[in-house]
Amino acid sequence: MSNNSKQNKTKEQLENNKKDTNKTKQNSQTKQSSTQQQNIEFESAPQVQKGSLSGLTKIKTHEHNHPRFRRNQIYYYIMLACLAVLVFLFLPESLVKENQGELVAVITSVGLDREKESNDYLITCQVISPDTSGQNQQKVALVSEKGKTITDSLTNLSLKLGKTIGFEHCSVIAIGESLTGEDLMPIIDHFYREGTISLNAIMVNVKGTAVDLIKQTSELNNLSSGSIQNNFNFNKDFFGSSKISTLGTFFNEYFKKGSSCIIAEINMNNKQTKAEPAESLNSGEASGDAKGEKTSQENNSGGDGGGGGGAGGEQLQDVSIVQNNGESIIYKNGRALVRANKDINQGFNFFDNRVRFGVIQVDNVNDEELDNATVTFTVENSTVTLKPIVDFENNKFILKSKIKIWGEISEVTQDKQTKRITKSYKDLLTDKLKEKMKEKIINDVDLAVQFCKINEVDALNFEDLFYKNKNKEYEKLKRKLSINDDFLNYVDVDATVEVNHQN
Amino acid sequence: MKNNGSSKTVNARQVAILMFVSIIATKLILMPGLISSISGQDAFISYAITSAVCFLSVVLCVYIAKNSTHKSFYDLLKQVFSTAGAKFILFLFFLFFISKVTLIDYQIESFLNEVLYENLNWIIFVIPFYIVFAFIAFKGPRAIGRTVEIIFPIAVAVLLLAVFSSIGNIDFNNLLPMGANGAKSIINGAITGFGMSGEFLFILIFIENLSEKTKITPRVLTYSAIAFAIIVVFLVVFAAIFGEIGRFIQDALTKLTHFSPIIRQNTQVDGIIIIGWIPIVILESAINLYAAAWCLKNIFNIKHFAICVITGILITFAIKLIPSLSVYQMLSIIPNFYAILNLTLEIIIPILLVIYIAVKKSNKGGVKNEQQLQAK
Repeated sequence: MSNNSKQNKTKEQLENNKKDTNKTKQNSQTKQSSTQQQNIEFESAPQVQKGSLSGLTKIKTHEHNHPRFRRNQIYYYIMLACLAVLVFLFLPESLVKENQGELVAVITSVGLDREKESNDYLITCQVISPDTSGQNQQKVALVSEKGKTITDSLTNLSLKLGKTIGFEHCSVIAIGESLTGEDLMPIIDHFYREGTISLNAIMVNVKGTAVDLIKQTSELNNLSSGSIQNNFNFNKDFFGSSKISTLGTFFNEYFKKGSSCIIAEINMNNKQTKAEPAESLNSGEASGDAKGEKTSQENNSGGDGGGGGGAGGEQLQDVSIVQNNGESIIYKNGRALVRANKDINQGFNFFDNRVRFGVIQVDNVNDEELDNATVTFTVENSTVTLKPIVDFENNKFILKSKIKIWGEISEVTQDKQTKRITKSYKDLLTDKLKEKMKEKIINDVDLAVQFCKINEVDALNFEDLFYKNKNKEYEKLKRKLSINDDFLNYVDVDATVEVNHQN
Repeated sequence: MKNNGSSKTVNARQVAILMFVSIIATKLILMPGLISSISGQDAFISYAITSAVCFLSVVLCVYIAKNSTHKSFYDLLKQVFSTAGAKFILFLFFLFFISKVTLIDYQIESFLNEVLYENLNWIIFVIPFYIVFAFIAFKGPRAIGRTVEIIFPIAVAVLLLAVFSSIGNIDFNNLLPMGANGAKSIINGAITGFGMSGEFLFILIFIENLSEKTKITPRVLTYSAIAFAIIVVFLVVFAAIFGEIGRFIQDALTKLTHFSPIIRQNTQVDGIIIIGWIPIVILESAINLYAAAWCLKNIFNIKHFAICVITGILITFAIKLIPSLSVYQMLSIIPNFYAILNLTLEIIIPILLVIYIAVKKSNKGGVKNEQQLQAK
């Protein structure tokens, strides 16, 4: 009996299950049919059009969760975002009749001088007018104006141009020799605050007048005025070049402990040359062919200056030549203090981790295959590690400098003839030569440090290095020795050099 | 086209991204320079402190959003503080959000004038700007949520472009010595940073629009933590690049690419950065305007949400008409006014609400246990 009852129960359960499954099937069928109906409704709805605003405004009447609807919504929001950006960017320009180019004079370089007679500031700007003809050429113009103050000069300049002066694209600030000894900070600060000059505009000192430099370099830059910086042959990675200081660097170094800054100097040498007849200037001959051995600056630097009297009927004219001799001016508290030559700048560069390439020339090398030779070593990579140590025993601030260079010999000049062309230069880099190179580098480093000490100018920011990295010890020893301005006298540099072949 | 301002929903992912965008959008323009002028090279320490406090506030807000059983934030406030109290608090929220809209408005104007335009007429700037963000605000949280999903990758790309294009100029020595300006300047910087924070409070307004409350906590907290970390890292990079002159920098995001000792040709990426960043700021304005309009709607029981949005825009416009009011004057009141307002809205009110919810929850648990015991 019990088995029968169980069987009956299971039958009933099975039947119930079947009913349930039928119900669910029916439900699913009705759901499917309803969604199909919705699909049909959705597709056949005449008022909904893909991507049209009219369709989107009527979205409330349709099923929000339908995949096609959701896809349309995404397109809609993408369109909305694009529209927002386009409207935001182009509406102001389209509403304002004059475009920005007509309102703003784009300055690409600025020169600062002081006139000898009137003692007024003389500001010279290289202005470009963007050309929309598609020839990728820009019209370059030079404008000069003077005034009792910088603001006065700039106002006069703006009136002369009939436009607002825009310094955002200014890449060079040239400072004339006439400003030597003057605190540059208020002038530069004014340019940054009022003129919103870019912080990566490089600062250049001019041995001569900044007007001449801007004039000469403008002639080189008729095609691309933005590349004016390149005409100074600066290379921030190169030992031979003087350090490049930007406006940002100048500001930053000014606020550091030493308050010193290195700014590269460009020479504007006047040279008397024979004046060429006017016809030959327009004859189409490339001047570079005639003066092939000169630098590109020299090739393009003619045509300026007043003509001088000439002997034998030949007319002579003054020509300014732009020369980068690797020299620099060291500023302290915003004032130009002392000039550093190429060798000293090379010594400075050995303390700069960003300077990685260059050439080291060693004279009087005597080795197995070298007899009183001059060896040129090309540095392919270099690193410098500076470790400040405060020595309380000897009351000294010791800066341990570890310089590592990698490179290869690129040139050997000597009287003795050898068949070295068959030999690798790698073999010539003997320990003896390495020692000679180390001596040379350490000598350059010492020269730079001594230069700083003698001139009491912390060009390498030694004090700032100790202040930042050994703050407590620095303050303690400074108090103990009651150091004020003569910090450099308590600094010793301990340089070690490692020379390696490139491979 | 009818919209009552609460009918649409946003999912957990959208809320998390919104949180990220709202935290980061305006922090990378004026704030780094402003904090640097107070804390110097320790600006990042100041903002790290601010971040910790703000993150705590985010945790509280997320707890409220997740555990609140009320229909909306207004209902919750009514239950805790009575109707009058709730309306007063909503008025404070309204002041907060509308001032944020105005501040962003001024910031973006100076940002544009600095980089793209010379002497941009503010009316010409304001018309398209207001139209766009008012429309997004009117469309409500769902439109905001969808838009942010599109804009988010652009924001990340722009940020990476700004940081990586200037990474070669980083000098970590500029961060040393840490704490040289003293603890007081660090705390003052943190207070200023705190005064500029609070955009994440929109999550409380969005309570009625959240569709996936269970998934909110991990996602929102993760995205918020990342956003705060990015700002701190940005401040480290900012100080390492600009050093002493960081205090003079008014628009950090674009100026970051300017400060380069590398000789440049005609390339400037600041234009690209500003074009990429503007949509983020517009969206941020839209979120704040939506929140302000929502507060108005509940304070005055206004049925049509469009009226609230238009009122919000008109108030912003009216503030713009105040002569000689600039972003710097607005920022000068931050430490005094905003820090107090933010403390109330970001910390005090959320803590009270969390306590209320927690107590209510434990009471419910207690009642349930009693019922179970009685049943047994």
